[in-house]
Amino acid sequence: MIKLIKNEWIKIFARKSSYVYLILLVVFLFIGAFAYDKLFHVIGGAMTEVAADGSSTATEEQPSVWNFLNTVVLGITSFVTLFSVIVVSQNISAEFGDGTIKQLLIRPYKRWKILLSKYFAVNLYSLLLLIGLVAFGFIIGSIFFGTGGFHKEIVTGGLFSDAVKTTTEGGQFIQTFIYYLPGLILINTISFMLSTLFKNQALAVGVGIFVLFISSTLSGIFTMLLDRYEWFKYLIFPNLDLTIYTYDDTVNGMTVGFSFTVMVVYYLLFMIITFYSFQKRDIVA
Amino acid sequence: MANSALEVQALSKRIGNKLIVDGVSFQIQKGEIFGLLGPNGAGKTTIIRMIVSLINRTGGKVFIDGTDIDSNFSEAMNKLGAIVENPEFYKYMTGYQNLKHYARMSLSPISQERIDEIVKLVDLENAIHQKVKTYSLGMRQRLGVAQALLHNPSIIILDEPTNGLDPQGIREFRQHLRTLADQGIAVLISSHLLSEIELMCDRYVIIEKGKLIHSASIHEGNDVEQEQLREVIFTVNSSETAIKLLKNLSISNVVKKSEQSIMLMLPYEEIAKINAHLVKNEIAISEITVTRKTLEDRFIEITNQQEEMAVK
Repeated sequence: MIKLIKNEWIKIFARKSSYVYLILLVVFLFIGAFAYDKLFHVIGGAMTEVAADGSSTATEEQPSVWNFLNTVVLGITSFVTLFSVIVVSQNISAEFGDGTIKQLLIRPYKRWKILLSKYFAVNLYSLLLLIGLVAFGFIIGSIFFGTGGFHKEIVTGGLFSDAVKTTTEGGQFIQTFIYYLPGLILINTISFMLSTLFKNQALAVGVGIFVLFISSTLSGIFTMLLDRYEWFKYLIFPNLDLTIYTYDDTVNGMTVGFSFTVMVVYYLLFMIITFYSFQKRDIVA
Repeated sequence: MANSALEVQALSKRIGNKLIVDGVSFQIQKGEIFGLLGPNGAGKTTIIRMIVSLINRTGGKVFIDGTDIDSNFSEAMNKLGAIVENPEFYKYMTGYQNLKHYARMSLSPISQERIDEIVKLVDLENAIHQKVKTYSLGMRQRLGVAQALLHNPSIIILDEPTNGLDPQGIREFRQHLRTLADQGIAVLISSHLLSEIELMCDRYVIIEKGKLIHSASIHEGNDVEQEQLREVIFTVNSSETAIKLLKNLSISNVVKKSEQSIMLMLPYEEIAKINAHLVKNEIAISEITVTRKTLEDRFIEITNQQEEMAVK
């Protein structure tokens, strides 16, 4: 099994695009850091003027690396999801498209093992993108804004309810990071399922990205409809993004525990569909 | 008794109400090149895909070197190498990387030396570190054979292996196969190119509409039934006189091909009699050509018979 995952890993990195996505993330980080730096100079300048007036007692906000991570880096995680969807969708459908799936499946390994090795490999790649983003984000952030600021207290909440809570920049980041992971894995799993079902490369990537975009739009619409239709909260879309729970403990009567449970159920369903259909399929590509 | 390299028992495949493959059985011995012959759409590829379990079987059993593919899938598959349809590779990797990739998937470890040896066998030493997208079809075909042979299989299965190869490539390919068979590896080839099967195989079966309708070895196939009519061409000094003489023998289906040659349909044993008659009447015969019945003729004959039977 380790050998199979190694094979898949090598194949992912035999494609130039796999490096390009990593490089793009770093480029986005630089752009983000520049923009964020500029923004603070402007705001900082304005604040100093106010302070000179003597009419404001606001202490001057200095961005820190953790502040940068919380705002810019977490924003760029959308690109991690996007690139993951592309790589995941491509992974299986390319094997069908190029006909290499035939050569892959006539080896002394059961089909589900080969599929599982692919699933592990693409999720590992996805994690690599995410870890790369955070690591480079930390380095670039430290260069631009200096280290420190982990324990700086911030106030969050009030987005979906009146309740506010106090946390630290570092704590907020770590929590968001952890809450981001299940959504990423689930979206990867959906893309993986779609590419196994469709076999067609363009269709799989297209539908994968479509699902990604539509889910963020739909979840907004669903959230509005939640009041009227109770069963809406059992759909996948309002539950795909756990990071909203870092601001509020309850959103529309749903909690992080509830959403996570719904995700696990859908996850199991998608995995069963994927592996069952792959196991039973006649390979005629 | 030694196991046959491949044994297929009552293989069948049903899609909807249609039986694509219907009760096909055959055995291939070690060191034998075996042909699976049939027109396009006869079910050859389906049979091959069922053997390598890319397609589920509706019924039937497959044994590879005596190992049942159902009860011991991994062990059976480890003794099999195949190219299914076109030799497809990861084009963005080099030939060597592709081989390494498949080598890692073998149950028995494959050494560096083994890979080098195989690369040498298929004559790809100069191109093996280039990306596969730069390869010609012939080179990909050879890489396909290399990939199928890496793990020392008992049998290799090649689906339409000469598709798209030029005559030179086909000849080389044929020699490669013979070398392999001499080493004791069984080879299963499918083709609709009858002349190809004839040149390459020791034994063949004909598949038509999913059924095995004929089975023969190439050598028996060559001594065609004695009583059958053959095309015989006599090269003579005067066609006109020869035709007249034959008319006297009440043989009328003589075709004048040129001033010096005539063609007629004769059973084998009649040829000598005709020759004697012509010579007796002072016709100089410089050549007698009996057109050998090719596999192609037999194939068309057999499939036609089959069709007539179906009509009746």
